[in-house]
Amino acid sequence: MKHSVARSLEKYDKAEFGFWLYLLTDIILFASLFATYMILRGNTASGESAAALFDPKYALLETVLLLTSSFTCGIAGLALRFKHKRMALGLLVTTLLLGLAFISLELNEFATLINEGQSWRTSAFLSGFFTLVGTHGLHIIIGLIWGAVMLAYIIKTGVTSDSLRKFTLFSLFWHFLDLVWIFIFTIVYLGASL
Amino acid sequence: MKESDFKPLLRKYLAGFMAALLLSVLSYTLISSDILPHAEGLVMAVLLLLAVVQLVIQLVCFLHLGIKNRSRNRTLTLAFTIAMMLVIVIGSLWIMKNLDYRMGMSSEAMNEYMMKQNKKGF
Repeated sequence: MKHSVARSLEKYDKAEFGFWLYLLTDIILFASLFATYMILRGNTASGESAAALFDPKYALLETVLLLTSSFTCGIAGLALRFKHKRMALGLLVTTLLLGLAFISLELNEFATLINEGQSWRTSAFLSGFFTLVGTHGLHIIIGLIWGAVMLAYIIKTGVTSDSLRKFTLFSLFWHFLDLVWIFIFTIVYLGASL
Repeated sequence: MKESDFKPLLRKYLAGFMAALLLSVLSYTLISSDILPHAEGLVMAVLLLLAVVQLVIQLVCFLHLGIKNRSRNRTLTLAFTIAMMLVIVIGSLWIMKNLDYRMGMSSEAMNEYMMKQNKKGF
């Protein structure tokens, strides 16, 4: 018994560290996109600049939604560790709904911009913007699918060392996306009016 | 884990959440009101500082990063990645700004610039 606990703990640590290394490579990906955006920010091809296109208030709403979902995801993991299954499931559903609200707002923003003729084909600045924010949005969509699968998995198998380990990885991913968003919020949306 | 550990851990998450929320709203307020002087560089520096503070708070409260045994490897690898990230971002900005500066010169100014560089010796 003791032996198997030790082994599952080792498996847990290995999985967590391996996934952590993947997230670190994702940081490098986002760093390149941030650098690209910051360099191309002024190249608007005589079109609208960032200050005219982006609304910091809208972005603040997105920020609060994503931050809250990161928080509920963390507590869901905590509840799972203490075997409060129903609480964990409820919080996971909340996390996914908040994430869904976030991505809806973002897609709505993209659609509005494109309808106004401000697509990624308009200028280098907008190419940089759509690539950076779109890559983050794509990660969020993948996270939402992963979260939904986690939900089904936990309902089916209950709280086991396997579901706990899998959930920890999902939770790392979700927290990471919120960390990236802090910098998108600061550099893209708040920096727009500077 | 004991049931009595639940509340303190919950409080850690809650504290992190409140701090992060406060910092986000503070950043937004700095931009939407005219509290700070109209100096772009200074304002951006303050905003980035607030973002980094929030990053650290979330890393500690949500991702449980620390220097103690179990999270040590994660902290070390993250520190290395942040160093690489800074090289990529600052390096790119530096090179492209410099290139932009040189491309923007008139041919006379470029000549003068080259003469000055020559005098310094390569």
